[in-house]
Amino acid sequence: MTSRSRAGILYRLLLRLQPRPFRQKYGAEMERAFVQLLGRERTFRGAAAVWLGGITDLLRSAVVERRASPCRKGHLMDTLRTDLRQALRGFAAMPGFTLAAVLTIALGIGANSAIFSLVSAAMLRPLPYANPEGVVMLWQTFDRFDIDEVPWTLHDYLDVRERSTQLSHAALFRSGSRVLAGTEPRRLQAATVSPVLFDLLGVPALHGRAFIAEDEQPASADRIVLSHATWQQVFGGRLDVIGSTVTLDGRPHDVLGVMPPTFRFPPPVTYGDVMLKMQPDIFLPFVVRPEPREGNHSHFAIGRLAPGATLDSANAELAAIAAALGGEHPTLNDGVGARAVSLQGQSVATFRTALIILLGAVACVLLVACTSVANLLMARAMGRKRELALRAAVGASRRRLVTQLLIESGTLGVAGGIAGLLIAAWVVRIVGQLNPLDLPDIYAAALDWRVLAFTLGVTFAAVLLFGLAPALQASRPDLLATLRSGARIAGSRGERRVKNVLAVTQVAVAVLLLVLASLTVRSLNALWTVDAGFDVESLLTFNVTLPDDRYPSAESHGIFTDRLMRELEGLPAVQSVAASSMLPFVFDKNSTNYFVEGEPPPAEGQAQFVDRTLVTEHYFDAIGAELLWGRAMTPADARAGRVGVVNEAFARRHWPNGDWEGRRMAFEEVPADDAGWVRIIGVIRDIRSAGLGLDAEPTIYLPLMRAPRSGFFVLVRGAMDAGALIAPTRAALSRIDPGLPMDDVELMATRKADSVRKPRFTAWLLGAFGVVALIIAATGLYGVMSYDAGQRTREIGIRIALGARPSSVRSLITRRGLGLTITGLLAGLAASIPASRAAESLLFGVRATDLLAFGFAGLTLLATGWLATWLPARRATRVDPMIALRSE
Amino acid sequence: MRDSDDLDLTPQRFQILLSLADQPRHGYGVMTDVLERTGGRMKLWPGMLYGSLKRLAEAGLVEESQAPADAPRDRMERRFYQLTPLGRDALEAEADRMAAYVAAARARSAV
Repeated sequence: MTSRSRAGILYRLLLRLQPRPFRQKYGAEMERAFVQLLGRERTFRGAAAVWLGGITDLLRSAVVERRASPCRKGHLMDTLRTDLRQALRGFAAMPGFTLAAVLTIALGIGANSAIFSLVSAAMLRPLPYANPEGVVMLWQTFDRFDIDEVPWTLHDYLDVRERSTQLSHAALFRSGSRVLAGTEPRRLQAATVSPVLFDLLGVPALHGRAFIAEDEQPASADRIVLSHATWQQVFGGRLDVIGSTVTLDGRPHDVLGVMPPTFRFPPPVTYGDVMLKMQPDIFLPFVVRPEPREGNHSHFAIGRLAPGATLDSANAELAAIAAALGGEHPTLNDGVGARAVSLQGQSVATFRTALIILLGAVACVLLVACTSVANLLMARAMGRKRELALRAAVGASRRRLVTQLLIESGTLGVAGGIAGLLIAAWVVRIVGQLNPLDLPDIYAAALDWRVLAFTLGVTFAAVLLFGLAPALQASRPDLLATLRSGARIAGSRGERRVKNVLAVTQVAVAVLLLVLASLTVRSLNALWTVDAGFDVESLLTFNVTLPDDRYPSAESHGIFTDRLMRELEGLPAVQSVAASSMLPFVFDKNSTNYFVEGEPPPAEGQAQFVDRTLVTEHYFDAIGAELLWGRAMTPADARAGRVGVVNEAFARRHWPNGDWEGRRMAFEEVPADDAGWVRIIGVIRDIRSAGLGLDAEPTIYLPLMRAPRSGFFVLVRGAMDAGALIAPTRAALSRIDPGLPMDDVELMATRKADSVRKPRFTAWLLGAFGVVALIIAATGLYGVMSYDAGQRTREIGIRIALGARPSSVRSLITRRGLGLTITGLLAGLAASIPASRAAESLLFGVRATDLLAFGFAGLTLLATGWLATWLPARRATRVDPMIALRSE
Repeated sequence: MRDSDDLDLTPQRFQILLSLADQPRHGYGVMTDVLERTGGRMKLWPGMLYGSLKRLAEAGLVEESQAPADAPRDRMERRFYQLTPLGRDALEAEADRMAAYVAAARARSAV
């Protein structure tokens, strides 16, 4: 169903406001015109403006047309109109109450809609491609090692593409970057893609053209397609850039076209623990050149199911093709399989837990808000007992009274719902800008029809929740008795019971939210204070990528790296400098299987893996890692035989007793001669490179200068403020090569802070929910106890007049309040246990049944509850007994 | 002939009549024509547009017409509207009235 037909359906629903003759004659055309108006809008703001105008127009026209036309259902409309007018008048007369109620509902509904829009974007919305259900992610698999997500080798991909009948299209993609020449050279993220990709996804270019199948020839190598954002920001949105030539990495490239602003590629797919989420600035065609077949798995692949094919049939075929390849190329392909996964499904899994927890938490907030408003409405209905009794006496049926009260609740609900939507829109915009959950761009949340429908549903449920109980209560048949009783409008037993239940519910929910909040806060704290294994402060990091045209050989890479190190070391206030192939908190997995000398090689399918990092000699100083044994590597080591430094995780895995002297290891296969072994000369403390929450993997550090790279990270440790080093470092780099940009410049401290963005946001949000729930629960308890004490004023007066001490009378009153609090507390704690277990995957260093968190939540509620009951009790006992005795 | 003052020609209705002055149009066509002519300042929403068309038809100023021969055929039957002779008179009278106001203003303040 397209968005146009959905909009039409919604408009058609709203058309029912119009009188039937008008609707029957003009409705279809009105709908058509509206959908066409909507279709002209390209932005969210424009579409929202059209919706707002359209709805206002319908409401206005409904009023005009109904006034003009004779109304057949006049009676119903009249009574509804009367009720509505009365409700509005009543609310206008009590602005404080109305504001409190609407605001409370708005907060509850708004928070729910906002979180739901995230859920909708992350889990429900289809990917922005034509027929996204048919798009699949293709992986190779290492069956022997039980690894089922491996990128492709070029030749395996080409074979599958040629042989498969179940896939109508297949495309490769790789990410990289190119430097755009200009007054200030600028690095652009580049995606190299099979030219047929745009056909596969079914997304045409906005201007010019995208790649076509013919572009796979070497002649097309220097052509690019721009992303919309790049076209706007770098090229000023000028149409004449299409067909022009730009210089990338020193070579001219023709600009073929620009993609639409809504185009997103690659899709958010996880590889390892990380998501391929960087949106490319430009697209380059993947050109197939004749190359010998090798086992370099470095290409990602995506495919589209052929008409009539299913995921299962595609997988069966892929397995068959992989088996055939295994027979044709046993050295490379034996034990290598292939599979296809639905792209939509693959994209969703990561966020599911966090979002569902948040949805649950925010639903609790709504529950608390509704109970609070129910309380308010009940109190208000109490004051109108007289009026309601009178209406019953002159013949209004119970159903009539309930309808009237429900219309009042409905009005509050609608007002709260609309206000809630506005709050949600604002929150969604802020969340979109901050992106605290690290949702990739493809998931930018928006208030789409799903969110609107959800909000409508939630508002309806909320109105029932807070409106029905008070309405039923207030319209009970014993009104006649109330009328006759004249003076005292007392609260009935049933009413008190409902109020008690509401108060207990509020306390229970507040406890639940506080427990979750405490757990996430403690988890965040544990994460932040965990020993990362290196010194995060005073460290500047950035990335350098050497273009092929100026640095064609490994030797040139080595010369540059060496020069850069010396240049930077010469800067004042610099303590140490190093280059490395990987950086903590920046994901880049490079692991291989290995053997250790003296141990039997692992059995089939039980390979052990080590992460490899290439570093220069001062790396351990620069990063501030602690050497446990042995020494770091020197330049001499780089030239001599193969040596390496391992981390603790590696060392303890093989030599737990600490006898590390003279140990050797080798990669992939047992070496033929001595030169193949790597001698281990040092052991350092574990560094949590993958993230604060993850233990360090066994890692080996090898000399970078033995295999210099074109792309590497640079670490610069300063004496004090690392930020002050940015400018001199940039100048130093410029002195060596003015055309080389300094990429991804970031203080290590900032990288660390960024790495905990997600848990920080979750903790903050749950904390906010907890506080809101606590305040509402406290207010609810206070309200109940105030009312209670007010009811018992006469009794209190008698007791005090008879000589009871105020303190003992107070404790009589507070006992009931504490009873409510404790009941709510126990219920909340009980509910917290399964809830916190569900959230366990989000926690670090804290058990789901952490006593401190539970204890904190419990004590807070207890203290708050006691205060909320003690204050009204104290006020009640202060009253002069004579006044109390005379009170009604 | 009725006095144009009796006809309650709001600016929106005037613009609708003006749209129909040169050719019959359907509802969306009137919408876009008015939007273009007023430089985007007057947006006729569907409810207001069709309500106005209904009242103009009741007043005898517009009537439904056949689709012109060159109109594109699509799945939905569109309703086309055209001016009646009365409608044309009313449009002219209103235009004359506005012109008289403008002339008076110009004469008064030598604008």
